[in-house]
Amino acid sequence: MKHLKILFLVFVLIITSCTKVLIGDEGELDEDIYLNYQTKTDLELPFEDEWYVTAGGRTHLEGAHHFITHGTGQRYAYDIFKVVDGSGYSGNGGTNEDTYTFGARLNAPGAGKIIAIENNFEDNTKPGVINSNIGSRNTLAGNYIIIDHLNGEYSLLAHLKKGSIIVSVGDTVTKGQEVGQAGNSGNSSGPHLHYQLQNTPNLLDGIGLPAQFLNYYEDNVAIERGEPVRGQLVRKN
Amino acid sequence: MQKMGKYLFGFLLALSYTIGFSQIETNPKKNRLQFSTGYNFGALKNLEYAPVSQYDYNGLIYKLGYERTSKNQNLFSVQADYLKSELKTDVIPVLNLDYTKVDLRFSYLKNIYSKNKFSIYLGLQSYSNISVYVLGNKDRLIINQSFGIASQFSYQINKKQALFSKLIIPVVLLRVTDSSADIYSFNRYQGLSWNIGYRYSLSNHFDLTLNYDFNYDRLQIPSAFRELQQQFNLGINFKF
Repeated sequence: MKHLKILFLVFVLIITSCTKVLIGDEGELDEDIYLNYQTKTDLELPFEDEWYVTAGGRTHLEGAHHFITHGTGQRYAYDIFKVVDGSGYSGNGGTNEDTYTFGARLNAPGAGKIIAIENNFEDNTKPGVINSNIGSRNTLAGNYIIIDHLNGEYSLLAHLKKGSIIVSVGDTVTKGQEVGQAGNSGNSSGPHLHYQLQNTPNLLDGIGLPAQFLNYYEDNVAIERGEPVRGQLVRKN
Repeated sequence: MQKMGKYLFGFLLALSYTIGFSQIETNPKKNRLQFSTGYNFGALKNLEYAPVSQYDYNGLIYKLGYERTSKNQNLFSVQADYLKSELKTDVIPVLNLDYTKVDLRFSYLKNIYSKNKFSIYLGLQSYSNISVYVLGNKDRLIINQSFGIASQFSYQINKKQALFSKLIIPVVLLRVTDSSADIYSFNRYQGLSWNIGYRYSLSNHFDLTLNYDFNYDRLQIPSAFRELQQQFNLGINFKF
């Protein structure tokens, strides 16, 4: 009986210790970023007027991109669209032009250098319809801009309107400088801005970083430094 | 659900005692229907779904299986598993979520060695699995289908008792998630499934089994995936 007990204890010890080894430590950096990361770049909301956060936040239910569906960089990404008087569109909303977002001005959220753009991708013809040529990894973002903030952080603004980008690769931009217009290109179900902060310059790669914006309003409440979450109306001033 | 499992354990024990010691073993049966339940100790890393290096999930698991022995002593078996639990981490508790797994295994094993009380089998196994990350109306699914090489041995200790063990090494995996569908083989996917058990023949028609199961899967992809399950099960077999 004593031998059986010892055997059982050894067995339990083995299975407990082998769990840690077999699961490994990958993801500990992700945990640390989730818990402790402080955005280095001075970021401001990259648009004018009032916008509605449809994806954003740290919980499974708040962040549509919390589950990484296309590339590891988008864990903390935002999907945001412009609203006027509580609505995202005028008319019946059946066309891109009906929405307040399509063609809305977009700014650099922080100072940096433009390191990649795509400006020639056709917008999806209307909300709810995605062009058939979307699918490959390179087309998911549609028209986009990547800004190197020169501190290990990179901003990606995606789904911009075709031909609207007014900066070029190599340009230096300042915070708040106009860079293009919101659109409906790539894997987009309607005109909106997809914004993410990540730790590598590559499109959709790297590890997503929480993007904390400075001095903005969440549902009319002034926020000195914060991360908008799903369901909030946000504006710069 | 946990209460139900305790009752089931009790029921299985009582049933085996009641029917076991009142019957006499005669001819070996060709078909075996098994129901078992036990406790699952699970650990999961799925960086695609959450920035958590290790979730733990424990809970009761239910298994229903059927095994047929052919005239040539080859084995065909099918087994379904069901587990409902919660993925838990103390590091970021706000990311805990419900988790359900349904597995289905088919295997065909050819008897390649049989001498005295010892038999060895070799064959193939198909393993289908659906994992559900429960989020109200936004449930996320992962569907896996793998094929692997399976081997099994059994040792008849005496007329009533036997030991058996099964080892499966998956060779290829088809995995479908919300965002991707891909095929993986040894270079990116490693897995192992091992079972060891003890069987006590209660009667002509009923056996009692005790099992330990070990399942491990590892995918070497940018969003790392690893899953380990260890299970202790108690089951009853109906032979016919």
